[in-house]
Amino acid sequence: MNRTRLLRVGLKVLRLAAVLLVVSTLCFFSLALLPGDPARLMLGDAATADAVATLRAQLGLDLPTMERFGHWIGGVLQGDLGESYRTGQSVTEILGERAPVTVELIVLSQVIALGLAVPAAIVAAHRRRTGTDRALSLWVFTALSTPDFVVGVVLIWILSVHLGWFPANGYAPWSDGVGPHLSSLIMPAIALAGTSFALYQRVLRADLVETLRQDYIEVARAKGLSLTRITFRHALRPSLLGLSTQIGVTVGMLIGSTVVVESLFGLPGIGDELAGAVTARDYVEVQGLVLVIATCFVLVNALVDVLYPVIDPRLASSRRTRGGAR
Amino acid sequence: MTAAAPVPAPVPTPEPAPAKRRRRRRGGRWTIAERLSAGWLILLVGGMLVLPTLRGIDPLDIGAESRFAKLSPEHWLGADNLGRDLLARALDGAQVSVLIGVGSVLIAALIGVPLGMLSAYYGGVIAAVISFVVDVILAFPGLVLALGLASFLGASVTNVMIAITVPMFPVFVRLARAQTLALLETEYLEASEVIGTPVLSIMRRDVLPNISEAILAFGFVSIGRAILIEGSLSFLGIGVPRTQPTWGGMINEGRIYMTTDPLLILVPGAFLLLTILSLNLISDRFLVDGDAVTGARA
Amino acid sequence: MSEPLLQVRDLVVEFRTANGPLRAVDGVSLDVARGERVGIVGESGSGKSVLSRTAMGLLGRKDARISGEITFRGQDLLAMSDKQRRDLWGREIAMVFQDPLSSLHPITPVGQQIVETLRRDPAMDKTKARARAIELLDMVGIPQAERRFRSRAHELSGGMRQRVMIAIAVANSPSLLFADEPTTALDVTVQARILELFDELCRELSIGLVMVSHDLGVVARHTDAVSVMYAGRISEQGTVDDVLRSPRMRYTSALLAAIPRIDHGRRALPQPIGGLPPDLVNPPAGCRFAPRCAHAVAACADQVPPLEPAADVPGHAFACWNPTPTEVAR
Repeated sequence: MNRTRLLRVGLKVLRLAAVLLVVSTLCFFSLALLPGDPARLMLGDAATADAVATLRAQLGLDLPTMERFGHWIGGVLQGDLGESYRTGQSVTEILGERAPVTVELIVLSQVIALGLAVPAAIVAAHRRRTGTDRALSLWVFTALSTPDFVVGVVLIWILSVHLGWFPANGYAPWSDGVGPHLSSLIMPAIALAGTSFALYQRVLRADLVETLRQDYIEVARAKGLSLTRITFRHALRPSLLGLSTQIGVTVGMLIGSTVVVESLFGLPGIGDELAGAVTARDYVEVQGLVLVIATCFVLVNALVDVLYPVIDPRLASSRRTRGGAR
Repeated sequence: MTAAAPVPAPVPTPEPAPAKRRRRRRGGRWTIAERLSAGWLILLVGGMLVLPTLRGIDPLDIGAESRFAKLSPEHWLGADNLGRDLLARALDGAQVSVLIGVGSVLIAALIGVPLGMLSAYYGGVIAAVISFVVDVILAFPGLVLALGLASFLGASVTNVMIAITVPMFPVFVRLARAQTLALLETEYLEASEVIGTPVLSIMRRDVLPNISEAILAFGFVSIGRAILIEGSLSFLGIGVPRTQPTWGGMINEGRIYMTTDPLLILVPGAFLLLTILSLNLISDRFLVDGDAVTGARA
Repeated sequence: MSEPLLQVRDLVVEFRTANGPLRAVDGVSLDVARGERVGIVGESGSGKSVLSRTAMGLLGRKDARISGEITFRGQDLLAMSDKQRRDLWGREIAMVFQDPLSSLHPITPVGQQIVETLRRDPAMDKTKARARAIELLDMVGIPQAERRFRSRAHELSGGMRQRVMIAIAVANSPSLLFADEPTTALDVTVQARILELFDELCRELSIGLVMVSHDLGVVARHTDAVSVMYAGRISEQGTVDDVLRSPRMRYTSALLAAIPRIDHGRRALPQPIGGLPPDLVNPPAGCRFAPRCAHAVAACADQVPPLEPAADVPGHAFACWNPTPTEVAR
């Protein structure tokens, strides 16, 4: 049994590697094959043909495509993602500076989302089909349907402009003190948390409702256990599978959402950088950032896969995992 | 958000306590929330088609005298910093959003569903290839991929549609594949195969009608999702040409004036929220489990 | 004998449904004494499971309309607060359910599930509870109890699982035990051993047992008294000997005739009961069995037969307008 599991994990890793290889190839060729000359784009229509040619040579754009691909992939494998056309800074350096902001933003938003979603799901599942459940569900639907940037704009309007609690824009690093640092992140984190909260509440509520119907919950009741104990000790854990899958998917999705939220709040994260790079058509940077984001996304999902048997030991011995629509 | 909150749905008739089966709501009465949602969507599409000609106001018309106009008979929902009519702009933006939302989902479904069905039916190499392509595309967060594509393809409505379709169709592949696989296990399809019905007509006659409900539900949510991505791109000023009024673009431009003239963000914000909310609520009618809504985010 | 352990009087349980109120239990009275084993027999849907769940208090006023009286050791169970009732569960009153696989928690090790019940007693600390749990596993006949303590439900066989469930139920030596079809989900060979375990525990711990089953054979061999339920009502009640050896109510006779059996070298073909149990939302006006009864007379169609004591046998009661004559019964 253990050997087959090992084999399965190995196959998964191989597949992951293949996916990442294709992802990076795509990243590269989407740049190489698309019309338009990066050098020309960077210098603008007014630049002389000479200037463009020089820049092309500088950037190595005059080499054959395959050779450039070789260089790039070689660099990627050594952790060199190239240099930004705009600033000349290396993409890895940019990542090192900006990733912590984005990671912290995502973690904070997940803490908020889960902190609200878990209690909301528990209450809704216990009061299924009552007014409370329906009110919560309406809230969830509204959160699900409101774009992050709309939440962000409304937050700025109310909390910054009217109440003056938090700065509307900008980032305060840890060195400015914990208070200013957190208050520069709290609004973007809330804006980012809305969708996650809604997704988590829905998934967990549905699974909890299903779990609460199980015989072992009635048995727990017949043992005379309190509702709190039944909820947290008996019902919650078997209901976490759907939620953990959802977290994996959502965190990946959030990396995309940070583009909007970080630009809105002027946070120096990866999303903001990506938006800037895209607008400036800084292709090397875009392909580097996208590759890293995709890699993180794939790894997060793989991590959830590995964690399944830990969350639910039944899966360690059964062949199939849930929701395997592959 | 001052948008009118839909009234919570009334309780469906309570099920008897001993019944433990999960019940599907489809085909039942429309709840108030669902009716309001359908009402809003009809109003939106109707208004989008009829009002511009009826009112004869150009969404691009600048007027110094109507700058920051409040609600008035002339400017029903007020006017922006350049005196442009907000309702006319919102309806013009609606055309873009609806076109991109419906268009990209239709294309995504037309590509994704057949691929998913084939992959489920044939399995083997075909399924492996399709599933690998799906994995690769889904390795990018949807918005990031859309953002990258939109910027590479250049600003145009068609390009935004493509940029949204690409990250969306793989999810249709997975959905159609999972649904078809479940269906293929049923006996009557086996019977159909034994008789020797050609694959294409099995797919069309036996499989498609049986999986269409799930796909329809998912389609509705996906339209909402597509409109949301379009809104985000427009908010960032990427994709749809800036001269074209869009909800996201209007919100972005209105941000500067939000302290003095909140209408500038409230109007497009309400359009965006109500439209996506309505689509989500209506799709929930088809699937009580909530698979559709959660799945669309993947 | 002093006052009975459990006393149910005129119990009515009604569910609201889309089509109108459904009376799952309709005017049932029942006594269980300490150490007594009472069987409740009936087809599925006869209300026997609802009866046991209501009698235990698991089904409360929040879930259904309940009238009548349920007294446990003189205390009114229906008037109790949730907290008071919970205090009884797992300590004074316990239940063993039908499907041991779905009744055991899928993730928590089985030993832990026993410990959890033991820890209802504040005097039980963790180490004591653990030792006691292993003792209990041993007592219900699980080999290598120490090792099995850490097993999860899916790693055990069906019989073992039900043994664990029984260990959980008797962990705090309750005085009253409900068993809802405890052997239905098990292999026939395992059934007998589980039932013997029940007999043993009832004897040793003098537990009052309410055994709900659709299986007359189970009830015949492993209970002292029996109530036959049909469509929410008790149609016949008495000692096992009286009811099953000389059934009076036609339904009981029909049930007995439906069992395939070989006895005294004479082979009797089973005679299935035709028709279906009535719709409990719109039950028949008279005797509820009348539409399926081969011996129905005019009165059966419109008058409800009362549950009345048999003239000659004390403690034997039945509800029938045209009872099976005593001499015909074996």
